[in-house]
This record gives sequence, C-alpha cells and structure tokens, in this order.
Amino acid sequence: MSFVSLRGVSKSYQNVKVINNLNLDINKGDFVSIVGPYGCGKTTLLRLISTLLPLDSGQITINRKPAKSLREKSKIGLCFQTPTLFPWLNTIENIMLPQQIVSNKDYQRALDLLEMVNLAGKSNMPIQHLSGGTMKLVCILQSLILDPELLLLDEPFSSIDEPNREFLQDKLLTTHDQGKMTTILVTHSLTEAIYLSNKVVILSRRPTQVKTILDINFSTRNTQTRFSPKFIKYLKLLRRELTDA
Amino acid sequence: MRKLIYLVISLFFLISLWSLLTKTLDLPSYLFPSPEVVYASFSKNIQLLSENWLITLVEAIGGFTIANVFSLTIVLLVFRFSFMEEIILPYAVILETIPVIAFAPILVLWLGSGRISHIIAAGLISFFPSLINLVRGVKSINNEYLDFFRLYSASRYQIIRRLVLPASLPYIFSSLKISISLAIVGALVSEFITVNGGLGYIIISGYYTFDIPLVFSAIFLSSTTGILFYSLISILEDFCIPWSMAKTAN
Repeated sequence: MSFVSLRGVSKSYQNVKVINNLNLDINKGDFVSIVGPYGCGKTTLLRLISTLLPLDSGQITINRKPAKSLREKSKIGLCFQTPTLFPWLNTIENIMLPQQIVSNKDYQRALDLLEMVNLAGKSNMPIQHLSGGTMKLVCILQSLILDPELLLLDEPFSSIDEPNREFLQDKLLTTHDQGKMTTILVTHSLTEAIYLSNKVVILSRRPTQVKTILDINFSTRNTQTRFSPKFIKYLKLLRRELTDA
Repeated sequence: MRKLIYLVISLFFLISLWSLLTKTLDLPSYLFPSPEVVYASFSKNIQLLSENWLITLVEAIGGFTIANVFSLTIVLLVFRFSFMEEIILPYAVILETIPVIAFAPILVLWLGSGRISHIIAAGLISFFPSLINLVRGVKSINNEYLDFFRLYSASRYQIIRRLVLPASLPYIFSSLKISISLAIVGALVSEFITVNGGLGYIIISGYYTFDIPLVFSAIFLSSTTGILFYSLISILEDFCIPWSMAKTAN
C-alpha cells in the first residue's frame, strides 16, 4: 500500500493545463526524486502534494487520508525554492519558527540540527550574514524541525557549492533514514537524483504526466558511488529518458 | 558623521550666501530679512514662538497619531478581510488626489475653530499617504512566506504578529516619516484659517503686520520641528529594523 498516492491529478493556470491526469504512488520511507523538462510543473506538483495549491481534479492521499490531514498535523516539511528565512529572526529562531507556530518549542532539537551540519556556532547570527548556500541549508533544517513524516524539497541544493552539496546530501540521507521519513525531492541535477533516491520519477512536457519511473538500487552510498559504472549507467538512462520527455 | 559634517558645511554656506545677498542687494527686512535680523527676531520673540510652537506640535502629533493608527487598523483589516481592499482602496486613491488643504475651511465650519479641527486637518492630510504606503508594505510580502505559515496552519493572528507586522516595519517607518512632515503642514494650514494660535497663526499675523523676520522665525521653527521628528523616527527605525530592509523599501 502506497504512502503518498496521486490519482488523476490535474492542474491548470489560466486555462493552460500544467498537469494532466497524473498518477503516482510513493511508498513509506521512499526517497523519490522528481525530474523533468523546465516548466513541466515539478514545483506545482510539490505544492499540490503539500496542499498549498488546490487541485483542479483528482485526489491526493497520504497514508490513505486526504493530504490536508497530514499538513494540519504539521507533519509535512517543505523546503521552498526561495529560502523562507525571515531577516528579523536569527539563525536558530528561523529554524524554530515552525515550532513556535505550532506551540512546541524545543531549543535543543534546533541546536542538534545545527550541530549535525556543523553550524552550531552560527546559531545566533543574523540570517542576512549567512552565505546563500548556508541559507538554503538553514531552510532544510527548518523543514526538518518538526520531524515530518513527509519531507518535500524544492531544489534545495541549487546554490550550494559542490563539496558542501555532497556533504549535505549525505547528511540528508542519514536524516531521511534515521527519521523514517518519506522524501520527495524536485531537482534539475540528475546526479543528485540518482545519488539520493531509490526512485526517480521522470515527468513529461506539458501537460505533464509521469513518463517513467526509474528504480535506483545501491547497497551503500558514498563518494565512490558517484563514479561507479552502475551510477554512470543510471545517468545515461535518465538522460535518454529526459531527452525523449 | 560624514553626513553631519556635509550638512553643517552646506548649511553654513547657504546662510552665508543668504546674508551676502541681503547685504549686497540691500533688501529691506520687511521683504527679505537677513539671517542676522531673523535671529534677532527669533531671540526677541522666543516666548511667543515657543508657546505657539507647542500648540502646533500638539495638533500635528495628534493628527499624526490618528492618521497612523487609522491607516494601520485599515491595513490589518484589509489583510484579514481581503474584500475590504476593493471597497476601501479605490476611495483612498481618489481622496488622495483631492487637496485636503481645500477641506480645511470646511472642517473649521463643521468642527468649530478649536484645536479639534486642526488635529483632524493634520490627520487627514497625512492619512492617505500613510495608508497607501502601508498597503504597499503588506502587499510586498513574498507569497512563499505566506505559504510557509499556511503550511504549518498558522492562525491569522500568528501571521499578522510573526510575518505581516515585522515585514511591514520598513513601510511603517517610511509612512511615519512622510506623515509627520505632512501633519505639521496640515496643522499650519488649518491655523492660517482659524487664527487662534499656533505657528500658522504667527505666520499669518506676521504677514499682515509686515513682521517678516517673525514669519521667517516661525517657518524656521516649523521646518526644524519636521526635521527633528523625521530624524527621531529614522533613529527609531535603525533601532527597530537592524536588518536594514528600510533602505530597500525606501
């Protein structure tokens, strides 16, 4: 039984059909990456799953209940494409903001998250003093603060330099595995999608539908994984699928 | 500090030029008094000026407070009930184009020649720019910020307290700075009409008695008051919004 289920999902913007009758099943604990051509509606899909956007038609259920019920329990974490950081709050206050909204303050949890990514020293730093990459990272921590059951990430590593990106991806994988979360990642980077996910969903051009789902299988993931023949094989396969999309 | 030095130097230069002009052109003081004559008049009439300054100050601050409390309340209502935007804002835009100064005699007619009509005039003249600026502030909030709060099912109160108010602070300060200057103008104009006290009264009575140095003293005092309040609000702004979004907003 799938954890996240999308059935006949459609969405239009001003009479332009962006997503058309899309069906997708995601199992509990999956790390799913969504890739597709520019403007195919990847972010829209993420927003539909988070219920921030209303559906035109179709149904999205999480754990056999309407997706809205999980959001109302604040068990959906979403890392937006644009960092949702507030300049009047410092680093740790930004991370704790979801807690403050749901009246569940846990300073230690926020500090633990910062320590996990070696940022504890910047906990009281004004947010505008952080680099673009660190801001993105703080956003990811913000989306993790309430231990979500479903984590939605919209291009979270897009402005982070290569070494830090790999470090963060490993941390994200650890958090995903430890927290028994289900994660959906929207990305343009095929290597990122292959390295992180156990499933890559390739979307077609507009009106978008699921074109292919590629199962990724690595026994372990480390720096060497990115250079393994299997990784290259997946990469070629994905490129071909995307070109045809 | 550098700004202050530039200001002092330019002020010194302007006053010297003014003094030089009046002496070289031999202008009579009932037409264009020299700074020395204005200073002498200011010192001589300090008691009269300060008494009337206090009246104008109370009226301007009263109007300024009313205008900003009203505009902030309306903006919060517009945020809470979005349909109100369509009801209120078109009128606000129309009313902004009407010269409120023209309403001053009518206000005196309706409310009498007391302080209330002056306060209302000061409030009216500063209300619309303040309202428009605050609406701009609320509308400038990034949609993703709002979605973030919606994601965690934040209440309207939480959104206002934790997002709308802090995000609008640069616009609130910008609106305070605009409205304090306008409130002083509003108070002065209404004093021109009722002639029962205030710097506006001093200006008009000085004009009728050809005491132009006194008129200049009153003008100097009212503009200094505007500058002083503007500076105080700027200092408060730097203190309240250290993330200096104000620079961007302005």
